[in-house]
Amino acid sequence: MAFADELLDLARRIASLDGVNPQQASLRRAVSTAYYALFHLAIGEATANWSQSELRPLLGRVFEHGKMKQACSRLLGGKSDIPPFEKRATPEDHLRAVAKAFVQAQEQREDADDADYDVAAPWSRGQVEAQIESVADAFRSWTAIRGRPDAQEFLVLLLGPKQRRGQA
Amino acid sequence: MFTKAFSYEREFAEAVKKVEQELGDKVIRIRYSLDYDSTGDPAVKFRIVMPDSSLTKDKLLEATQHVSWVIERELKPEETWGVYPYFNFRAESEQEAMQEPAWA
Repeated sequence: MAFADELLDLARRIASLDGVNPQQASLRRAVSTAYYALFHLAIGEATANWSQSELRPLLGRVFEHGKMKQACSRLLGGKSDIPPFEKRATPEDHLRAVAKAFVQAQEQREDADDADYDVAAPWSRGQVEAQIESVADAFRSWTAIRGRPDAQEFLVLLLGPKQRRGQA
Repeated sequence: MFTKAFSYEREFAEAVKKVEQELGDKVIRIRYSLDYDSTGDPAVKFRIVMPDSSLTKDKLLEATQHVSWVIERELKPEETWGVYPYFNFRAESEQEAMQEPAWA
């Protein structure tokens, strides 16, 4: 199982801990782990293109959370309405679904992890499971398009390169 | 920078209410906060209470995706109101047990 898949599986397992009264620490950790599943999916897919495998971990460290979010936001272009999976008719729909899930997951990770902010606002298991499944949905959409040129270009854009002249 | 939702809160609330009504029994209620997200962008964070029957493991994704899609399609949070939408979902029974004011 790839590392990203392991993290997604781990998120699900953490969310199901503690029986009917889940601990907030478990739920918050599950949200954070789901984000990192998607984060590592993107990085793993990008660095897999580097032929010298021993350098892939080093290349992976070039990716920055903030730039990745910016790239996703730029791709969404102010229109974040994404149809449900079964209604995604085009590869673009799938790519936008991945981008949107990334933005959402990163923000949820910030809310879950920031002990200085809103630590009093508890999470529910249903809330966490909904978030995890939205990440899982992004995994499915990525699988549908990963070999396409626009999907591969998206991976490079996650590095936050300067835009070409004439582009916003 | 002008963000329409921040300046026209009453109108935004009315627009959200309209979408909530359109969703009918798909949602129990929709609450939200207008603020800036962690990267400083204007945002709306929705807190949506759903019927318990929608948040079973086999229906959860479909139900939540449908609701978020309708909200975004009808409300157009970014295009019309200048706020990026984030979604949180909770089952009705969970909220009844937790009694969180922000979701009430």
